[in-house]
Amino acid sequence: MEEAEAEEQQRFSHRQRLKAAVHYTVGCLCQEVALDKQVQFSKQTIAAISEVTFRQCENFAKDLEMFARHSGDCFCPLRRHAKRSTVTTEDVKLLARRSNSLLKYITEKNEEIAQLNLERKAKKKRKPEDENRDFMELDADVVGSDS
Amino acid sequence: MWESSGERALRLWPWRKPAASGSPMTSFPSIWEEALRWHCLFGGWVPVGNGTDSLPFLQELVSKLLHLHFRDCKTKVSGDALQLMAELLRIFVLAAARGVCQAQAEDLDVVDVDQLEKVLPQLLLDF
Repeated sequence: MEEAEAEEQQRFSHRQRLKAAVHYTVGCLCQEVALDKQVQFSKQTIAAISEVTFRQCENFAKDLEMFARHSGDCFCPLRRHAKRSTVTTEDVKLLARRSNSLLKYITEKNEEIAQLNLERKAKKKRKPEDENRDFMELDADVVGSDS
Repeated sequence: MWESSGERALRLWPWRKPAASGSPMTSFPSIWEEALRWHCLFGGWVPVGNGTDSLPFLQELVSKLLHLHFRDCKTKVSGDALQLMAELLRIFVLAAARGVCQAQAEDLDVVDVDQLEKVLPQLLLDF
């Protein structure tokens, strides 16, 4: 019996931990929908949805990898594209191609995210620049008063 | 004997100790505790999009999920793509959950796996 338990512990691998994390997130999302629609989800349903989500991630990952690698296989005479090893937002948008409404939503979300990231970067750049400007004004005052 | 997808999902969770014979396996608080522990281990909260979204898929979790299935270990994912993927997964789960609710008869309170089996084909065709 102890051997069986030890074996079970070993089998609790990285994959299962990921499944557990997905299960929790799915559970929380389902809970929100349940509150919204005034129904209750059975535990089996939540488990089934999280299993489907986990499986779908495998399809997504393989597709994304193929999209990135495929971007180098084009017959464009003007420039040679290197095969990409980094998955970009264009690849993710390709994933959403099957439903028009989904593609539209994802494209809009992509622009939102890009805009947010730009603003965040701008904020980060502005802060040290502001500090430099203050210092420079201080120096100017000092120099002005001396002369 | 035919097994439903929900029962299969329950059977596959490895940390579930086999229940005593005869007792129905309906309540399993330990799974939630275990799931929460691993969920928290996969990084802190990162807002996706405008920050007012409901609970997002954590970026680190999404990254690990994708890397689990990449064939080439050199494949990387850009930060923007990760955020977008987290949103896509969130939509996927919401679509599944809402579809199941809609397939539910109005007089029943508890949504069961049978409804999921009705909406699953269209859900997988859309994604």
